[in-house]
Amino acid sequence: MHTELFDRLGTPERMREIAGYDLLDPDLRTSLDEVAKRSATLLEAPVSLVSIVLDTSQMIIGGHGVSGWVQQAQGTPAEWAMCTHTVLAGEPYCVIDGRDDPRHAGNPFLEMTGLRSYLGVPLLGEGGQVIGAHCVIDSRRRIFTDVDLALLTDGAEKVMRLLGSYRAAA
Amino acid sequence: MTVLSLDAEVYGLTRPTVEDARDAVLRVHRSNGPVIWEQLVRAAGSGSSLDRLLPVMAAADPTTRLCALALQIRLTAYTELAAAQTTVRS
Repeated sequence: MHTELFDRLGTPERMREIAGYDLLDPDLRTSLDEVAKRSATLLEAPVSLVSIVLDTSQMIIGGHGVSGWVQQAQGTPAEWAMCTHTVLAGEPYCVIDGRDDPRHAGNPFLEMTGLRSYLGVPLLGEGGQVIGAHCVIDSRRRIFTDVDLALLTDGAEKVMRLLGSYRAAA
Repeated sequence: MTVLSLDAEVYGLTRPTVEDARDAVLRVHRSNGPVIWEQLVRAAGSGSSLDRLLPVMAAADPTTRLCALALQIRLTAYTELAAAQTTVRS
């Protein structure tokens, strides 16, 4: 297991902030699927995700274009998730072509899904912790534009407004 | 047909274990972790397996619940990929 990575992701402060949201509410999930679908459409990408990055896994709480084992698991191991990089960076994260990018060489998620390029923006919780990411992933080499980033950032703001309405009861 | 053992790696991924669950609880609860882990193991019963621990963790405090969700994702991913690999090999 990837102890150092899991320790960075699983800090008590960050996990407590994530635990403050009712992430399993079906109405929330439906709304987040809509946000993902909108971002995928606007950015003309086959896949869009709203993810919470937990200590050892990426949990997909809203998605468009997700299939196969990722859909069955409703997530991926954290060490395979592109969104882990976005969360740890705390800023937009871009991959033009994962096949040529040494940061992602041999990533089983990319190899198995055939996906290549990624643009993600962080989801910043009310308590100041980066709790996850909103992203699009494409099956082709792609240079994302400032307009793409602006559209995705707008989607992330929608996500956080929705999440704010689903705070877990104390 | 090839049958994978429980500790076989699939794309470098291993099946989560009770030890992984313990590490997660200690990680997210820090100094309170040992006490919380003891309570979880007691609730899961003697000879606790991950299959018995995960429902107990999912019914525990909200932070422990997140650890259970994360481990369940890893377990499902492992199971799905192992099944696919077995199918390909058979």
